[in-house]
Amino acid sequence: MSYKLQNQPHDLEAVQRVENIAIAHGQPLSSESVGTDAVTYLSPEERLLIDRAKAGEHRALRQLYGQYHAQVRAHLFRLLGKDCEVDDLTQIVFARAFNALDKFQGNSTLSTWLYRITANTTHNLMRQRFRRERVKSAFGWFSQSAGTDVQPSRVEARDEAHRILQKVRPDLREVFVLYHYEGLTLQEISDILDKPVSTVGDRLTRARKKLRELVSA
Amino acid sequence: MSPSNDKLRHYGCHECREDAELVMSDRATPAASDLYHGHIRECRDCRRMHRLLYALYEGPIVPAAPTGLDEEKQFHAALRRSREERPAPWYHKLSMRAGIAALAGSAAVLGMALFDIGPGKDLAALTSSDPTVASASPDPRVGAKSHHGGPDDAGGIEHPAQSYGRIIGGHAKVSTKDGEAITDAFGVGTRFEVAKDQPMQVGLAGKLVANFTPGTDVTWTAASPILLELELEHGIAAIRYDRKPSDPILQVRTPDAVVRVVGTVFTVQVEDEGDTRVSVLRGQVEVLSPSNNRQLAELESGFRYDVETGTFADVGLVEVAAAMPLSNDRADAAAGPEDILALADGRIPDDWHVPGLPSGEFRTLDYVPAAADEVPDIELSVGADKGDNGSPMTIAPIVPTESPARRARRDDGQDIIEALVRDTEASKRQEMLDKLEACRSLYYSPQRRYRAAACLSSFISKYGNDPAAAEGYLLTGMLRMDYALDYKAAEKAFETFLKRAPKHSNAEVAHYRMWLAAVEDGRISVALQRARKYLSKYPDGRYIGRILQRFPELKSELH
Repeated sequence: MSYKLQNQPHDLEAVQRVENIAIAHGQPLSSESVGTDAVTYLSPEERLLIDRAKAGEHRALRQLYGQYHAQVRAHLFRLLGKDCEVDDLTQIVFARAFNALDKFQGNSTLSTWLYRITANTTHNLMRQRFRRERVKSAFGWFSQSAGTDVQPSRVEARDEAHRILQKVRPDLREVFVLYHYEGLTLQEISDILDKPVSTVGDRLTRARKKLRELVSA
Repeated sequence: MSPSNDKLRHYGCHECREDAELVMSDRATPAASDLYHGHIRECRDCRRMHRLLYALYEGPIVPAAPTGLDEEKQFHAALRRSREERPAPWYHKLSMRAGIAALAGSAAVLGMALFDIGPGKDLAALTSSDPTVASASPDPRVGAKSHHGGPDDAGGIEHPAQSYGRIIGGHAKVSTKDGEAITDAFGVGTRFEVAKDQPMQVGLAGKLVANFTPGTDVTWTAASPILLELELEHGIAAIRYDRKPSDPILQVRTPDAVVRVVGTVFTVQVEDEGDTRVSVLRGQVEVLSPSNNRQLAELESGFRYDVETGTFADVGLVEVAAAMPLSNDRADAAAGPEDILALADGRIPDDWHVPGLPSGEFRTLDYVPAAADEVPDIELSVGADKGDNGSPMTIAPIVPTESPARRARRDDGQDIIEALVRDTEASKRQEMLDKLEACRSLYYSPQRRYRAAACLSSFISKYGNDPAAAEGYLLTGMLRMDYALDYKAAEKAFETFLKRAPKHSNAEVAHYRMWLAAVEDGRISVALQRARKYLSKYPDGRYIGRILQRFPELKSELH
């Protein structure tokens, strides 16, 4: 996910916007105005966007939202499944992100930073739900469809698979989703969850093992 | 028993489950993979396990994220939440701890005054206080009126030069705050009282194009980074707004409704009795109550909504006819924007939803189902002029009728098309002249001027190598810029014209248009370069006033 900015194509529209603002204020245009650090997690356009968003510019906040809301929403969906709270949680994640922009130092990509906020936002909710489900199943209120003679269709298999995923402990599920669905590396997951890479690797192995057990049950 | 069957016999459920992940990630050997698949064909439990594990690794199908109005609503909800969840400033906590209410109150007021404008303390407050952002515009007219209220009232567009509109065709009484408009450029606060016999087309902030039908009374009331607003008193305003994500939202206010748009083609009609009708041809709009912003209706393409009765109906002939000058064939654009200069050819675009309209060549106004109460005094038969094969056009020439107001604003296009005709007449080629005459008749009609680009494009493709045809590029570029807001294609046409005829008498118009295209496209640094070039090349040029209107700082360049 992290990359060097030299490899990134310039967003001409963003550069143009900086120029326009600079011109409107009679400031001289220079290459420094769009940032030229050698190595960074952010492209100059992103850095500029964040600066404008930190200053509270509505358009910059809207642009941030436009660029990342699909990612956040999809991640929440993969993590929590079909849930009426996904819209609400997406709003919470962005509200927190907007309020935390001042603290964002650019030490990760925007996308990683938003994954981190999403992880922190959903952590307690996932634990609460997991505990509730465990109690429910312990009391036998839940009847499992496993063992049915009818082969599930592709769509049914997906639904069943997702139900199974919800039975995995939240900390393991989180790693599984980030690794397999979001396509992040162990190092990136380690950055997001603020855990050592070895812990992340261990959780991933345990998540896979648990899933294997659950689908074989 | 064959060796392969023997192997399969020793490959049981345990081995299958061990190998499942390897097979799914294509890391198993071919032999192991064969055994695995052989086993799951035989074993129902393992087959189920395989399906579930496969579905697990494949992941769920994520539903599409909301777009358009829904996305906008979600964003605003997140913004509201961010304000609600913002931690209280430190001085509030301090005052609570101190427990001296009166002192705390005064300290808070003092603290607010001293410290409340630090970066990030209050996103909304900063919007108007930070000098690098939206308050870039020193023009008090920009964002003079915004109905969002509260902290979103950022005011100003990125650069003040972008906050102007332009008359594209037709005529009206155009009054600005300083009196009647004398050029085709106007700012926020301009009112249009469209003539009874002709429609009028305008472009606003380089972002949208609107057609006002005869008799329409409309005022441009706001232009800020978050809001463009029109106030419609009477008549029909048809609008095409191809909005980019960071462009402002558009609102049309009428006496009894507010129509909010994210990006779409639609019409708003205010009838004599003051009743508002909203019709959508592409996209989606939201109709709100002007008193409390409560949603009255969410309107999809193909529908018309009557605000007074609260009823829905199909989009009708009147609305489609009003929107026709805004038609911009997407199929052409997809074919290759580099070479496309032609605009609409009288066909109703495929992405407009008109219930009951046949497809293909029948997508013209002739085939739009008309309700009994719709007045059929609209020019139809617009699909007949093919032109490419040299066959004569079926459109009767229209004698230009110029009002004094129109003449006062001078239409460069009319000069150019007259020059083209003169040159062609000189070349004594009847066919070429006929063809050009047809384009001219289109150009002179405010109802059909939008179709002149397609006609001229066909003219250029046929006679493009003739020196007399060079001006066709200029005119086509102008129409492309005015009606399609396609500034890149327009610039390409102007460049071609200047390359072919650098010393042409209309080269000044081309240079001016190049500058205008850059401004309206939001490329201010490029616009400044072009403005300087124009000023040095034409120190007594006829467009100097318009350039200095948008860039007063360039006055010094004249000396």
